[in-house]
Amino acid sequence: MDPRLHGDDKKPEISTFYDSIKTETPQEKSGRPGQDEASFVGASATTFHVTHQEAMSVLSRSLLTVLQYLIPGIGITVSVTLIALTIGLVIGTVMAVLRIYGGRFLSPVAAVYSIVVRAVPVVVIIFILFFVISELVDLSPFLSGAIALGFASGAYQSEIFRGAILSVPPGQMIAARAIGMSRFTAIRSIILPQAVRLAIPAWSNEFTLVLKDSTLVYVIGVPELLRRAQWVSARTLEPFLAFGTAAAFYIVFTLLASRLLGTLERRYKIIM
Amino acid sequence: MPEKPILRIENLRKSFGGTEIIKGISLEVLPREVVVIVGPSGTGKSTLLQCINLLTRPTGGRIWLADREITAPGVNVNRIRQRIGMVFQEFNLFNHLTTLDNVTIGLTRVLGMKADEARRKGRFELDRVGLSDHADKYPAQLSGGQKQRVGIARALGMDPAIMLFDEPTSALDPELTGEVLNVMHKLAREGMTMLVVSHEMGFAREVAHRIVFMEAGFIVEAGPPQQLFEAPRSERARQFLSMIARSHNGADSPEDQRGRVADDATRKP
Repeated sequence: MDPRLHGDDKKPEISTFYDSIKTETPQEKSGRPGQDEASFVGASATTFHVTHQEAMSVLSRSLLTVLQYLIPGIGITVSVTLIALTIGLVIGTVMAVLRIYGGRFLSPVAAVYSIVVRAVPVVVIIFILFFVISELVDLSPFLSGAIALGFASGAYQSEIFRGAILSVPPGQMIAARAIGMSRFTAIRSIILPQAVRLAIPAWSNEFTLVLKDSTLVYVIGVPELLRRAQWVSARTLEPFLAFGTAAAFYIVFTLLASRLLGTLERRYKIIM
Repeated sequence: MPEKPILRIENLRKSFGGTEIIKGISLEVLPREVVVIVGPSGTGKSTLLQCINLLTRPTGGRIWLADREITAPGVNVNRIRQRIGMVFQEFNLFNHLTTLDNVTIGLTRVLGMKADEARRKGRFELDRVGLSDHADKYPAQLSGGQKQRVGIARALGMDPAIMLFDEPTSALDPELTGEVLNVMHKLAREGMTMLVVSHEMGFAREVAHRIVFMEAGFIVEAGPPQQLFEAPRSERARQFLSMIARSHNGADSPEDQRGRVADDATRKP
């Protein structure tokens, strides 16, 4: 087969394929990548006989195919990660505060949340939210995946913030109360601003973990990076290229995030 | 006419677990009076101050601030603490805030003052302790003496009825205690009511109207500095004060004596 012909008929096929996954439920489209794969087996086999130059051109075309598949997944991966981190940040902060200052009734609640959620595999939480909760509330796979990840991350973040709050010197709370601040105001304006700064290094780590855990939402059919890498791997029969490119994207995100958080850490550093 | 005390403590008791730290203390502080509490460590001096602003709940006894009984049930402790300034041995400045914000945060978040009004007031208080040039620095950028002066400014900002000082110079290098004591001296001259736990005998002689000697949870002896330093009635007070005087030999110099004489006329409450 002529590689150019290969390239020509590729584009429309991708767009129709992409369009189809948006409207299909995960169950319906489960057989699809296999079918597409079949049509590409012949293409790869024939290229075996072409010259070196032509082989390179095929490779770059494959890369192009891989990118065309993966790039729409970047937005999904990034938004799943950011939504999950934000949900986790809110839950984690509240739970850490309750754990430490919640008293006899609320503190155990926060402890149980943290222990139970961290004991359950994230995939199980994703399945529970998707198959159980979305029966009751209308949730897209994307949203239920992001919320499940956020719920899980909240438990880990609550431990991060608990440690950070406990490392704020006790004199800070005493001084705040001594000028007449209520407990709540003291936590909000004195303790948490310091705890958040102390938490940044551990939080950066949680960022990378959530970014990588975002691959797990593929089990409920969210077309994020990993799922797309699988499709395009099956399609081009270039698994290394497909998964390698996906890996490269994760590395780039992680580096960017570490960079950003490192800047924040330096800017808001407090010496005690 | 005898003035009404601004602070009245009646038979105060405090125990932690089974250990009684304060075993029935009664004390009155008049407006504009400076009372210095001295005594060996572990005798409940700091606990006494913490009980007064209710950072620690007394186990027994009653405390009045002006006419209000603050140990009565149902009293809003946050309101009470706004009126009692507290200066800590370890400064306890808010590490994430600038010097100015350390003073203004109480004004905005507790008293509900507008931001620009709070800044004006904050700058005034920093000026009072001689730190207006350091308004934008963070606590970590200040020396110990400067930190403690910010601590004083923070407490002053709330316009307290009485200031409590818990060993304000004990964490400072000797050469830095002077700047803090000078500020406290100035406050005393301005008529601030002060209850000070301190081992600074020079300051006590010079500024205090009354010295209270505490030991083992009791007030052993109290009186004007002259009486306590020169003719203590109790043997324990005599021993303790002579020991302190020996270890603070340099600070208790003729210079201090001169200051005391010069101040004598003005320091009556």
